[in-house]
Parts: sequence; C-alpha cells; structure tokens
Amino acid sequence: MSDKTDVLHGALDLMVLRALETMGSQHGYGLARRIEQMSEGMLALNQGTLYPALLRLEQQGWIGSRWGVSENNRRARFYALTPRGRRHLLAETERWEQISALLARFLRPTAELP
Amino acid sequence: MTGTTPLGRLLGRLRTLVSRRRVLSRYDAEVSEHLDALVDDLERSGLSREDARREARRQFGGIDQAREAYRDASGFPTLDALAQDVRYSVRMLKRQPGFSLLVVVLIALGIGANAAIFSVIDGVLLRPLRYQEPERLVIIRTVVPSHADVYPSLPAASGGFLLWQAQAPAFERLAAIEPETDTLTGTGTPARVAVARVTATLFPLLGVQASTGRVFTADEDRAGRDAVVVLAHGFWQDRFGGDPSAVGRAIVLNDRPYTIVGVLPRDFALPKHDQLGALTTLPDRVDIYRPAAFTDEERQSTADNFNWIALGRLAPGVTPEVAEAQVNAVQAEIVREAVRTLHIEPVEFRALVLPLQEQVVGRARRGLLLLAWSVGAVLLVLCVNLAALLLTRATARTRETAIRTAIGASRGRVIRQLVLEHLLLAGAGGVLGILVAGWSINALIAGAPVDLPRLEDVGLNGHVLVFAVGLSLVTGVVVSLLPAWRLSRTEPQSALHVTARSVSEGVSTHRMRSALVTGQVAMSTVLLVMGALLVASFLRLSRQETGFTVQHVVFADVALAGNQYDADARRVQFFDRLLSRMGSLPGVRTAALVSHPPLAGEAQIQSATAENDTRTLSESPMANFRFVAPTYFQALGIALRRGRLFDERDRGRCTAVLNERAAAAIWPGGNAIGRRFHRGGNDRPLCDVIGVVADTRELSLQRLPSPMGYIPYWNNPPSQSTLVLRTERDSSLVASALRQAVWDVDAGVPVPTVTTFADVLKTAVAPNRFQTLLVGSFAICALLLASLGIYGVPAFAVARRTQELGIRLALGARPSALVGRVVREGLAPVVAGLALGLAGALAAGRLIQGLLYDVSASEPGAYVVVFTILAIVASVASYLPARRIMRIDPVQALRWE
Repeated sequence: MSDKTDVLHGALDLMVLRALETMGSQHGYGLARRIEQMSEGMLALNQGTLYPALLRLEQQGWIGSRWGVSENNRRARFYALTPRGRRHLLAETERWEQISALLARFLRPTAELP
Repeated sequence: MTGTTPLGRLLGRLRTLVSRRRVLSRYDAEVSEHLDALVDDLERSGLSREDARREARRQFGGIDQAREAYRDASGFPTLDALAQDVRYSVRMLKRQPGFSLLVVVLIALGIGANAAIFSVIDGVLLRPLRYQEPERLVIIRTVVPSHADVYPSLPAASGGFLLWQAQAPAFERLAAIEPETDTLTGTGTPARVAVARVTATLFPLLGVQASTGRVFTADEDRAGRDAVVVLAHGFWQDRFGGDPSAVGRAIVLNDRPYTIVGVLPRDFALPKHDQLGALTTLPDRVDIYRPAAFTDEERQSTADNFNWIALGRLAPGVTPEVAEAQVNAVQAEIVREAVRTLHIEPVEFRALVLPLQEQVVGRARRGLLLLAWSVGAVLLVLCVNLAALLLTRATARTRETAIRTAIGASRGRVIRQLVLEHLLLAGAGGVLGILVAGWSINALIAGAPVDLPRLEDVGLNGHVLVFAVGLSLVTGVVVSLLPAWRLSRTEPQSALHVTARSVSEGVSTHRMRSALVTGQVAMSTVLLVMGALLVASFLRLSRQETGFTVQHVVFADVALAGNQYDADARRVQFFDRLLSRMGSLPGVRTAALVSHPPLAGEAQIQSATAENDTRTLSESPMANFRFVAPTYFQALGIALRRGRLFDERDRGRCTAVLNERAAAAIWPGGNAIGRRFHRGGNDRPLCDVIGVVADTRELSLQRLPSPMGYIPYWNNPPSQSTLVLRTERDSSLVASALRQAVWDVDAGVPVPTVTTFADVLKTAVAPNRFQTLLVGSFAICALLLASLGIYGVPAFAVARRTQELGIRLALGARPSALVGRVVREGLAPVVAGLALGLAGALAAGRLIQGLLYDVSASEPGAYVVVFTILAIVASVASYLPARRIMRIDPVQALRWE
C-alpha cells in the first residue's frame, strides 16, 4: 500500500463519517450521492469503492449497519455513526484541519515564509 | 492512516472473516440495490433504460474489483495469499513425487540423527540432576599432595567432614556417604547386600522423602540410636514384594538387628560411583541405607581413611568458590594441628568443592560434544547438497518464475512461495525425522557404553521435539537461501526471450556451486580426520599389551553369603576345597582366585609403608592390594621378575608379592626381596616381600600400570572373589563344569556369571568403540554427501556447455583433453576444501586430544589417509560426469537449440 492511497482512504473515510453525521442513518447509494453533491463535481467517485470503505469503518466500530427500507420502498442497508465513530470524527477533523493549515503555509509563495 | 488501532482492525476482520460468505452476499445484495436505484434515477433524468444501465455501470466502476477489495477487507489478504501459496507449493511438490520424497527422506535422516544425539546431550548434560534445586548441590573432595600424581583428588575423611559441617557456614547442609557390603539375615535366604552408611542429613539435603514410612531423624545418627534402616525401592520390591507392612519389621545386618523405618521413592538413586570421582566405591545399586553414626575413631580421623563421599548443599547465593575457601581454612587448621602435635613438615592438604552436576557428567561432556559437532556437520553438508539440488530446481523453473513475475506476482511473493515449498519439505522431513529419532534414541541407549552417566534421563521428550521442529525449520530456510538468491536475480524479460534450453546455469551460479563444494569438502575432511584419529586410537587401545595372557581365561564371581562364612577359617576352607576341585576338572590347566578381577578398576587401596619409614600415613605410597591364590600369576601369565611366588610355606605368616612399580614406590632404587612393610598403617603387622612380578594393567586398559600388592587369600579371605580359570581349549566350554564344581563344595553358593577375559577386554574398549563407530559413520555419511556435491560441479558444467564442447569437438579438440579440463575445473574447489579441512582438523584436533588413546591429534598418518581417501573419491566423482564428453555427438550438440 503506498502512502498516497492511504491518504485517499483516510479522506474517503472522513467524508463518509461526516456525511453520516449530518444525514443521520443513510444507505450506500444515498451516501454516494451526498458525497458527489458535496464535492460539487470535484471528485469523480467510483461508487463501488464506497462499499469496502463502509466495511472497514464498520470493522473499526465507527459505524453500525442494519437492513431497512429506503424512501423508494427498496430494501437497503442503512449505516449510522456510532458514539465511538462520532468521537473519532471529531479527532480526525481536528487533525485534518491542522494538516491542511500546515500544508497551506507551506504552499504559500516562498517570499512570505518566515 | 486514520488512527486505526491494529488490534481493533484485527478484531473487526476476525468478525467478518468468520462470516465471510454472508458478508460477500450482503455486498452483492447492496450493490444490486444500489445499481437499481441508480438506474431508476438516471431513467428519471431522461435516459433510456439501456443507456441508464450503461451509465450506472460506469459510475459505479468495476464491480468485480470493488468486490475483490471488499473481500480483501473482510479477511486477511496475507493469509489468503499464504493459503494459495501452500496449495501451489503442494501441487509443485506433487508434480515431482520422487524428488520430493528423496529430499524429505534425506532431511528426515539428518534431523533424526541430530535429534537423537541431542536427546543424549539433553538428558546427560543439560538437564539438571533429579534432586531438589540441584544447582546448589556440590561434592567435596580432598587433595592429598603425596597422591596427587595418581589420584588428583580423593573422597573425604570423616573427621574432616565433621569439621567442615561445624565451621563452613557456606553450606546449608552437608552429608556423607560410605558404602559397605553386609550380610543380610533375618528375612528369607541370607544375602550379601549393598549398604550405604549415610548421615541423617543426606535425604533432606537431596530433597528426598520416603515413599513409605520415613527417613532418618537427626537423633538416629548417633551411636546407640542407629538401629534403623531405610530400604531402596528396588530392594523393597525384590525382597519384600513391595509390601508396605515391611516398614516396622526387623532385619539383621552382620548379626546386628535393625528396624525398617521407611522405603525411598522409585526414582531415587545416588549417582554411580564412577561419577563421583576416583576411589569412591559406591555400588551401582544401593539396597539399604543405615545411619552413619560415626564412631569415636571416625570422629577423630581427619587425615586418613578417605572413604566418605561428601555432598553439600550451598546456602542460597553462595558460590562453590566461597565454600571452597571456607573448607580450605578448616584444612589448613588440620595441618597446623598436625604440625604442632605430630611434629611433621607442613603439607598442602586442600579440598575441592565442585558442582555435583559437573562432577557427574563432566567427563562425558567432551565425547558427547564431539558427537554433536559431528552429526551437526553431517546435517550441514546435507543442507549444502540440498541447497545445490534445489538451486538446480530453481534454475529449471526460471521460466515459470518469469511468467509469474510477468503477469504480476511480486518478486517477494515468488521467493516466499519457493521458501514455503522448501519449508513444507523440511517440515515433512522433520516429522519423519522425529520417528527416526525415536528409533535412533533406543538404539543409542542400547548401544551406549555403561560409563555414560544418566542414560535413564535420555528419551524422546518435549525438548527433543522442539529441537527437531526448530532444526527442520532452520534447515528449510538455510536450503532456501541460495535458490532464493538465484530467483531474485531472474530478469523476467530475458528469461522469457531465450529459448527453454538456454535457461540454465549462469557463470555466477556455477561459481556458487563450486564454493558450496569447497565448504562440503572442508567439513567432511575435518570429520574424516576426527574419525581416522578415533579409529587409530581404538585400534591401539584394542591391541594394548596388558601384561596378562588373555586367551582361554574365564572369570566367575563367587559370593559367600550367610553366617556360616563369617569366620575367616570357613572361607579359607571353602576356597581351599574349591581350588583343588577345579584344578582337577578336565580341560582346566590352572585354577586360581583373586579378590577383585583385572580391568575392574580400583579396589582395596591401602598404604604400604616400609619398615622404619617415618613418613606420615598420608605420605606413604598407596597400592591396590589383591588377595590371590598362589596360582594367580600362572593362570594369567604374569611373569616373576625376582624372588619366588607363594606356596604352602606361606600359610600362617604375612608374605606379599609386589609388582615392580609397588616395589620401586616403597623402596626407591633398592631391592625389595626380603624386606618388610606395613599394609594399611604403621600399627599393622609387617609383611615379608618374597617376590616381585612384572607390571600389568590390572586396574584399567587405559592407565599405565599402578603399584600392586598381592597377598595370599588365606591371610585375608575375601567373601566376594573371582575365580580365574585358564583352560586347554575353548574356555566357554568349562562354564557348566565350573558351576558344578562350586556347587559340589557348597550348593548354597550362587555362581552368577562366567565371562571370558576376551569379553572383559571388549567391554573395556566399548566406550571407545561406541564413539569411534558413531563419529566414523557420520564422517562416512559426510564423505558420501560431499562426493555427490563434487559430482555435481562437472556434471552441470558438461550439461551447461554441451554446445560449446560440441563445437570444440567439431573443431578437432581431443575428447580426452576436454575431459581433463572439466575434471580439473571440478577438482579446483575440492583442493581448496581439502586444504581448508586439513588445516581445520589440525586446529580442532587439539580439542579431542583427551579422547584419544596413545595417538597424537596431529598424527600425520591420519591426515595422509584422509587425504588419500578424499583424493580418490573426488577424482572418481569428477571423472564420471566428465566422461560424458566422450559421448557428445558434435552434430547433435550443435542442433541442441
């Protein structure tokens, strides 16, 4: 596994967790849709990659899942944030903000560096 | 990473792993719902159903890739790949069943032999003695300077022992043991029994409790209170049928009644006497223990009667060195006291404190380690051969590897699979090897000489199993190194480009193969030299001149038991009648008697002080005394040097015959005949020396003749003695006549065994035979394995260069010249290995010098023999494959591609 995919994994995980936080319980299709909307076309997500990510998050105990019926009367598996997942999301959000702030400082034009 | 804990991930994976099928079907259901929903949405946005489906697939991405990723996430990818590799490896191994079987069997033999030798090392050397906290147990022996040249150390004196007990706080406890042989009566038939007088501290010191009844109390270790005995388990079984009510019963030892108070556990035994140092006479099996209850005389005896085996348990944290210093402070005080009261010159009278385990097994260590190194070297040579064999196989599989690499297998995965394949082989070999070890251990125990201590602790136990499994894993990895190296250098493109035939050994592989041969030959050479030295030593020992006539001589032990033989006169009468009867047996040339047979070690050691010699007892010469019939010298062919032998005139007075060494020790430089000496102390009667006989190796085959004194049996009739018969012809024929003659004199006397002198000699060299046989066999195995390796180099050279050789032949090269060249190339690594090996043997030889009898470790003969053997074997092994050049058809060779 290269570092690059790790970062992407992390990013996708975070997006899923964040989406679940705002939407409450949601099924895979709805999540995919939501993430696409949020990214405003900047992210061309292969929707298929969502499911291994969901499984991983569930294995970590950050989300739970159960079968339910969707708004269109379809059988669907609904995912929801667990309390542990909520805490993890908080911590991770903070971390991401730090990293992006740090990167932003580094990526400023050279002259402005202290 | 997103802050995942490894444990959490593991648990999550385990959860999904157990229900992987359900997880995957959940994925399938979810995805199909997802796609349906997506298609519906797309249709709603105006696409045709067909287009909507296509667009949905596009947006979703690869369903199968995602499923694979899902699958991976739900389980352990490494584990899955491993399972795949195992299946693949098994398939590969099954494809060449003959090859696989050969490798497994070879590894099994190697591991089995190593595990068997390890089991002996483990049981004898590594395992702690079977006593409580054995690491704190020590033995204390005294060093008497005047005897130090013959006996570096002696057992302890009782008086000295008591002083140590009082004045050496380094010991938590001290115990003393003195063996004796008593006549048992009062229960069943009278018998001679092996009795040990032991201080009451012995059993607590060793941490032993009675299995029935009790052991001695401290109070019972005093004269007057000591009429109690404890029985050994085996004796209790034999004599009392294991009846618990034996405790409390009375027995009679030497006419004195004792009460049985306890029985010791089945697995309890004292170390054997030959493991407790020189001059300890503890029998192999003690029947009865009685309290030592020192007499007043024994309490005073600080510098003579070194008869007591002194054992100690060190206080926690105390080293043997500290204890030794304290004991020696006591010894120095004893000397000061003697200087003051006896007006003698001060002498050094030290004591040694040795760990008991070291004393018991120390002598066996060097021989066992030699065996371990030898068998280990064989395995190493075997590994080298296997590595070369597997290298060939890896080379042949370069194409397969290249294809696997080309279609995406990582190089690591390919190598991992190869190592796994070899580990499977080694593992199978290891399992089979444990079976081999099981058989070999039994064979080793059966064939081991009796002088190897603690054989009862040797067996196929947990340690040996762990060793065998570990060793087979190491073997698997070691043999994989080279093929893995070879594979790691495979360039898939070049391997796929060239034709199959050309995928053969490169120059570097050839060089590697030669280096392996050098290593093999070096190791085999060292082993062969060791083997040759041991063989030479064994031959010399077998042919050692003993000073005796061995042919047509038999020995039979006779033990006189019961009160009727308590009186000296009765024993003399018995022997008188027996000797005259046996002398007249048909086929018997000479019938004689000796109190302790030849080559059976030391016995009846006493001081021999010349008349008017004023030296103290501890400075007097010591000699082994034997009580013999006058015919003894004639029966064993011991030559008379001066004076005369015993005859009837010597009855009723003390006369003695000495060997030359004893005469020279008592009267240095003078004539001994007609002079007189005290046997066993200045207060004992004087004996006239009437004759001097030639020196013999009476005590042991290995040791130079020691001072011996012979006394007629009627002066000191032994209750246990050995009949010596010199016969006309085959000596075994007289066995039954001999028994009959004994029973004619007294039907109650058992004659246990009749052995020929030749058999006694054979037993005497048994330890050397055992060692020589094993090391020799290991050396020959190594040589055979190495010769395979030697064979391989030219064989592969010819195979690799068939085309080149064909061209040379076509151009007119003489085949014999080409053969010579290939042979020379094949022999180059052998010569290097031989040189290394001979140098190595010269260095290692010093380590085994102590195991050699009358042979120097740098004996040139052994080196010449090994050199010659290896030169011949190597020449043949390289010539055979090179000869194939003669059969190369140039035309065919050129068409080879």
